[in-house]
Amino acid sequence: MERLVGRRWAARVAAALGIALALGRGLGIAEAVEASAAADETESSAGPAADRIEVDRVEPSSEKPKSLRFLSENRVFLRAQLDQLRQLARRGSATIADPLDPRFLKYRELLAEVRASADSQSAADDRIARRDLLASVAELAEIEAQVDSAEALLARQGERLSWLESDFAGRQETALVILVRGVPPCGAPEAILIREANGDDVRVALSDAARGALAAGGIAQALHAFVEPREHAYEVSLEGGACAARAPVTVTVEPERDRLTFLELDLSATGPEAAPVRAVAWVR
Amino acid sequence: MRSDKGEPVRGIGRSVFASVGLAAAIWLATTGRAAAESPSTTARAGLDAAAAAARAWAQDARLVYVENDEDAGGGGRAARWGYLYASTSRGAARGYTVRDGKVRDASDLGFDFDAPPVSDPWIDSDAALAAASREAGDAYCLENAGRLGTMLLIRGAFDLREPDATTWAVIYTAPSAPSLFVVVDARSGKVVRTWRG
Repeated sequence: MERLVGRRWAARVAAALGIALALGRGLGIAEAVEASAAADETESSAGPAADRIEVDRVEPSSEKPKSLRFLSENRVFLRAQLDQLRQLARRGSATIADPLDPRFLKYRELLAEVRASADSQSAADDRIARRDLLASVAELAEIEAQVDSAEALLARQGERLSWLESDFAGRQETALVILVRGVPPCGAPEAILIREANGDDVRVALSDAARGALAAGGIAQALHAFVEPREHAYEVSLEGGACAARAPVTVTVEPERDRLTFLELDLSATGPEAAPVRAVAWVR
Repeated sequence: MRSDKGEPVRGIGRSVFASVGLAAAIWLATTGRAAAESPSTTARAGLDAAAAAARAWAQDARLVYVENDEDAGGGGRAARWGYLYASTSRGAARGYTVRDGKVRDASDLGFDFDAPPVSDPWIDSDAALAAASREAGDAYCLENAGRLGTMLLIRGAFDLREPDATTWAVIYTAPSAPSLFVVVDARSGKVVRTWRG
C-alpha cells in the first residue's frame, strides 16, 4: 500500500512539474490569462442570469458508467426468485390495504363543502326569486341578510381555491422549455427535430404563424416537458426545404432540479454549412 | 550573474522558481480535488435525485430495485448507486445511476424485469451491511479471504417466510469458495436467510 501511495505522489509531482515547465516557457501563461479574461468578458456580456451553452457538431463522446451490473448479469436468477415467491406474495397482500393519501380525503371534504354551498346558494336564489312578492321593509332586510350570506359563501370558496392553488403550485417539478428564435439563411424550417439517446424523440412542426413570428423577430416554443434533472445532450436538426441538408448539432444542457429551465436556440446564427450554433439557458 | 559563455542567467533562475511554485500549486490543487471527488454515500442518499428523475420520466414510476454501482465495502457506502424504476403507464423500466447526489446517467432497461415496487420504510445500506457482516459475512471473509461483492434491494425475491417482504441481499464473494448470500429484512434489519451458491 505504501509503495502504491508513493507511486501516486511521484506521478502527481512529475505531472505537475511537466505542466508547470511547459507553462513556464513563457507564452502559455500569457495566453491562458488572456483566454481567462476573454471568457470572463463573454460571460459578463451574456448577462447575470443566462448561461451560454456550447453547441457541438458531433455529439460529445463520453464513456457511460456501467449501472445495475448484477441485475443485468443475473437477470434469469432474479426472475426465477421472483416467480418462485410471486404466488405466495399475491395471496398475502390481498388483505393488506395501502394507506390513503390524506390529500384525497381533503379533496373529498372540499367537494362536499362546495356542494353544501351550492345548496345554500340555490335556496337563497329561490328566496330571491320571490322577492317581488315581498313588500315590507322586514322582508327587504331579509334579502340583505341573504346577500351577506352569499358573500360569506364566496369568501369561503376563495379560501378553498387558494388552498388548492398553493397545493399545486407548491409542487414544482423539473421542467425544460426549448425556445427558438431567428430564421436561418436556408429559410424558415418546416419542423424542428429534437432527439436524445435513451430518450423520446420530439418533432415540432412550425405553423405558418410560428414561421411568420420567427421571421418578424419573435420567439416560438418548441418544447415544454418534464425532464430528468441530469445532463441532456439533445441532437437538434431542421426539417424542410434547404434546411434538411444541414447536419444536426448537439446541445448539452443540465436542467436544475425542481426548477423551470429555459433553453433558447438562435437559428439565425447559422453559417452556410452548419445548423444552429448559438444557445442560451436560464432558470426560473 | 552570467554563465561561462558570458550570457545572463537571471531569466533561467526566475523561470525555474516560477515553475517549481506553479508545480506545487498544481499538485496541491489536484491532491485536494482527488480527495474531494465522489464521496461514498449510502443508498438512500441518492434516492431523492433518482426519484425526481423518475417522476419526470413517468408520473407513476415506482422504485423496484437498488444496487451498488461501485464498491460498497466501506461500510455499505458506495460512490455510485443504481436505482431501477418501473412504470405501468409506459410499460417499461428505467435505471438511474447517481453519484454525489446527481443523476449521472439514465437508460431504459433492455429486458423484461417484472419486480414489485419496494415497500417503504427500508433500512439504509450501511445498516443492512452491518447486520449481514455481524451474522455471517465477517466470518466468511475471514475464512475464505472474501470480500463484499454486491448489495441489492428488492421485494418479493428472497424471503421464503415473508414472500412479500422487501429485503437487502448482501452477496460476498471469494476466489476459492462459493458466494455467500445474506438476506436482511429491510424493515426490521434482521437477517432472515443465508446460503452459499
